Amino acid sequence: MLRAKRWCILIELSATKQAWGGNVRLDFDFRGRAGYVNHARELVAELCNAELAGSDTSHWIIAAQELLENLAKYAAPGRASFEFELGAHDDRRYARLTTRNEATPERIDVASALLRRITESADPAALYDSLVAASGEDGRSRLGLIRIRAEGGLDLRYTVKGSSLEIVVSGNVPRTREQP
Amino acid sequence: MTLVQDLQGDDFATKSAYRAGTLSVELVGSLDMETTPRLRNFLTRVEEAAANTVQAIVFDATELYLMSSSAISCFASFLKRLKKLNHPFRITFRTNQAHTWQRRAFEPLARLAGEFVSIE
Repeated sequence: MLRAKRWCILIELSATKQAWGGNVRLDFDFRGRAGYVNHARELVAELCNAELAGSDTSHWIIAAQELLENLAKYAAPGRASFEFELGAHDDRRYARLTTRNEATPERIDVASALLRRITESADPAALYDSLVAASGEDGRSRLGLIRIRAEGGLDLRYTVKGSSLEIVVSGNVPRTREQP
Repeated sequence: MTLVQDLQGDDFATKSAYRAGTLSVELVGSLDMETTPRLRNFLTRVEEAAANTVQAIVFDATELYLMSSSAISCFASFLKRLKKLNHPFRITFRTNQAHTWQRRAFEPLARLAGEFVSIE
């Protein structure tokens, strides 16, 4: 584990018969730092390639990119957290992406309204199409989060506590031949 | 023949060629929050240069390794502008089957303007 005043990287990995999985957590001030976004996404991609070899993990890479870009564009000044976790529960293997950040009241309101529509939608593909049709009219795409659900088929949850926003993306991952 | 000046760069570049009414544009690299503004400017130039000249545009994504939602939005805005033309160009997105995310990413654009957009 590396720690410094402005950033933190925490990596824990294990692949034994008792406990397959691990997690990577990055704590940064991501705002405006496309380089950090790309490095963090590449780290997720490398872990997927190593631990989920042979399966299509592109939806996890895309989801990581979208969540990281949101941190870079919308998080309030200060450290934000990005975490990627691979784990096992009973006989099921899963992956999970989590972001936590502070945001302005205006941004929290906008994000909450959008996240509510996405998580409550019974037809994510139709919602995606309607958001694509409206996208870009104010210079913002608003497509990143719906894309995670509509394209990737991943579960999306969120929690708002005051000025703090937590987004959790999760889904099952296949057991590969290399895994114990 | 060159119709529009291409984008250069290590992260994202375009390679375009015009022949017999078709403008072919190779998209090379990654389209993310940093490179998408350059794509937006490029598409504006394509739109201006192609008016009254081009019948079809092929966007070849074979060497495109990532496309974030900002780029999808950028293409959506481009297609919405074309929709307003009396005779919009025929648009094709050529995907790479090895990049499984590509078809999923371009399909909403085909649904947005299915009358003149297709995916290969």
